[in-house]
Amino acid sequence: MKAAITLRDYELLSAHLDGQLAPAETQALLARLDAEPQLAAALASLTKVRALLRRAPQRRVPRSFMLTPQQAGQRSGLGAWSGFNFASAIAALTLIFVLVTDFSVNGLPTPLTARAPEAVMMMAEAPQAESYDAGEAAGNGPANPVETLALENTAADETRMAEEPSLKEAPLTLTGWVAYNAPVLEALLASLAVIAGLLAWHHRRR
Amino acid sequence: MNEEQWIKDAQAGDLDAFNRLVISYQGLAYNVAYRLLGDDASAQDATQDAFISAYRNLRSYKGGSFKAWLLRIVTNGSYDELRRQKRRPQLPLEPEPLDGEDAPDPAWMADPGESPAELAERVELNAAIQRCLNQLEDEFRTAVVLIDVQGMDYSEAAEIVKRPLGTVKSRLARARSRMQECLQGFAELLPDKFRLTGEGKP
Repeated sequence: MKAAITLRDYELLSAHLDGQLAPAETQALLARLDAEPQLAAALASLTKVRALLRRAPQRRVPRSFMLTPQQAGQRSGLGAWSGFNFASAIAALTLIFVLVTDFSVNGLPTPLTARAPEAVMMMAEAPQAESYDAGEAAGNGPANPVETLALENTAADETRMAEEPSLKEAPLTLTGWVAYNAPVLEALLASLAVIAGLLAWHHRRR
Repeated sequence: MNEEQWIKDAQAGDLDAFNRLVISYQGLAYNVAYRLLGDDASAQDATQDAFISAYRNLRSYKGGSFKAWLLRIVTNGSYDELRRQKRRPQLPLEPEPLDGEDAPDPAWMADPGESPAELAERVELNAAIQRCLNQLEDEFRTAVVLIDVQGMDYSEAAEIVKRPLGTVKSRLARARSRMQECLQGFAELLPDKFRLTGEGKP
């Protein structure tokens, strides 16, 4: 007879109680139970514990746990709200950026169409002047009406720059770069705002 | 009960169908949460959270036992709550009863056919069982709650806790052994036929 019951014995007894032992294991255990009263007592004890636990009363449900539409839709509502907030934030930042850019470059917000010719002329200034010089030196004059217009605008710009030296000597700064690329940047940011809006709409639909 | 159809409808967004599932399983879910957590308020929260989580993740249910899938959410939620309680233990606003049990509230256990003495005995017995369950490690408690208290079979319990059958068997054996030791301390509360001898402790 064994002096103490091991954990392994307890596992066997517990599985035997629930009919979880293989037939051969059951036979072996039954033989031991006949020979080891302590093991048999342990089985009796475990049987009582199991019976007691199975008698443990079930609590009555204190309330209904059915979901309300709000509980069910909480996540999608929150997602849409978050998406909406995110899109709004992007749109607002875009607007602020465009306004700040306008103010810092032009002093006041001006329509894109009003500034575009200036930007185009700033971009085209140097090469056109060279071509004009070269053409004039060769005695050829302006090649077409566009060139004529460009030459006239260049002349006007030179006059303006002579009156405002700060324009002529302005170094290439971030502000200058932004002003130079303003139309592209504005189009890019506007597209971003539209995409953000579409995303918000998509989230809401979901 | 056409559970499969309710699940399909619920997966398609039919809240009424899901609520039929809630009605079918809320008793089981609440009782498992209650036995794992040991108090009513936490069990209610865990049960409600589990159903909300189940509804939101219903598309991840790919068949098999819905009961096991749902109870896995309940047990995982209860483990989270237990961890949270361990990190931030809360002191009750009112002093605890001397025996350390919840204030007696036998109304939920009342059985029209039993005498006040029998009711009192059952209330005390239930408190003793819960106290012993509370002393077990979480995974042992889960095994004994699912298999002995809720009467599930080993394979169902293994599916719920996502552990091999052998692990569940071993945990259950240890849990029963510890419950036996603990319940011996409440011997005077136990009906005669359940009195434990105390022999053969490992």
